Amino acid sequence: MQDNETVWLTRARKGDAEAFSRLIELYQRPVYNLCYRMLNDGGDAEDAAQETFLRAYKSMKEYDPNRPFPTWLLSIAAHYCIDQIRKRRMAVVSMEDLPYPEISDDAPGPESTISRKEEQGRVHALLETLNPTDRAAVVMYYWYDFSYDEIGETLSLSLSAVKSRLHRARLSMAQEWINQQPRAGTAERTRHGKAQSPAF
Amino acid sequence: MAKLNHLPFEDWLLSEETLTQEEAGRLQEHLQGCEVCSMLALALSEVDRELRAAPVLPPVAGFVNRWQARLEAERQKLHRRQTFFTMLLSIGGAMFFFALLAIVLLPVILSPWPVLLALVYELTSTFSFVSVIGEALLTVLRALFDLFPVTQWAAIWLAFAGLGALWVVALHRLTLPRRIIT
Repeated sequence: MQDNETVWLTRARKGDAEAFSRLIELYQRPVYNLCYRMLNDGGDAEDAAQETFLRAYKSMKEYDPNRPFPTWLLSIAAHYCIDQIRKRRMAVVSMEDLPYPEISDDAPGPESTISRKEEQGRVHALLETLNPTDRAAVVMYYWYDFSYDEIGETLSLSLSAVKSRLHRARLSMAQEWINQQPRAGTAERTRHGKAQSPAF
Repeated sequence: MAKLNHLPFEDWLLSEETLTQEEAGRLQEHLQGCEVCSMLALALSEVDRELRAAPVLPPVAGFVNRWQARLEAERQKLHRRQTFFTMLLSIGGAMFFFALLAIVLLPVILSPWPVLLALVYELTSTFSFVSVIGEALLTVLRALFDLFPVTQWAAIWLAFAGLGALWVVALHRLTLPRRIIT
């Protein structure tokens, strides 16, 4: 697969659209997921992901082969989404109206769909509390297990800036979580007694 | 002041870095007595769990085909734009040229007689000048022809022809492509 990718990359750098399509097949999911988590709208995420690949295709000659291709691709996607959010300042919409992309499931019953929607809603509410750059850092950290260095490289930030942003983002999300479920959180805590720190 | 009491512990909770044995002990001790920090610790662990459990969402099937269609549309759009600008440039250039021509020709169109008279005068002058030059050349040639006999003229012509041939051969030799030995 790695060899194929290298071949596709080499051909794509020469302007071969077919080879680039192969790369899209490989990376459509992480790029789309990043766009969806950033923009929280299926249509906008599709548009942003398409635009990301279009921009990447046009800039293939500028791509440095020594740099990991997914990092470069996600960097384009993240910057595009950050710009989009800043431009439009997303309108506040009702949680019930939010569109959710279909997730393949072996037995998608109505209960699991509702539960998934609720889960998506909670994740969205958490991400919504963050500014666009912090949100991108969080998505890369939690969904793609990017290191601080990789996040810094992708978002053009220094290591200390990444740490500081993630620190701030986690605090903000934790506070949002507490505000969302004040009673549930307290009840949970009372039930289990001492809380365990995620630092351990 | 209350915030200051939570500061190192809050930082430790939010930081992903591993704590020393001593720091971990202090944090546990603090969490047992501090409701704010224990609530934060619980919330953080739940947020972490929630985010890590959330799947990587795929786009709707046919994403690559839609991208290819978009690329094609983009190319056509670019082509249309280029055609439009080329046409615009050509029409603009033509209009500019015609405008200049109109400015130059406007006096002629409005009153052609002075221009026509000037043209006739120029033509007559040129013709007279050419006639005078021709007469002068003929006189010089006649004088030269009378200066030498026919045999000497033939010899001079032959000498010039030989020099000309020599010049052509020399030029041909000099301009021959040389072989490059690697």
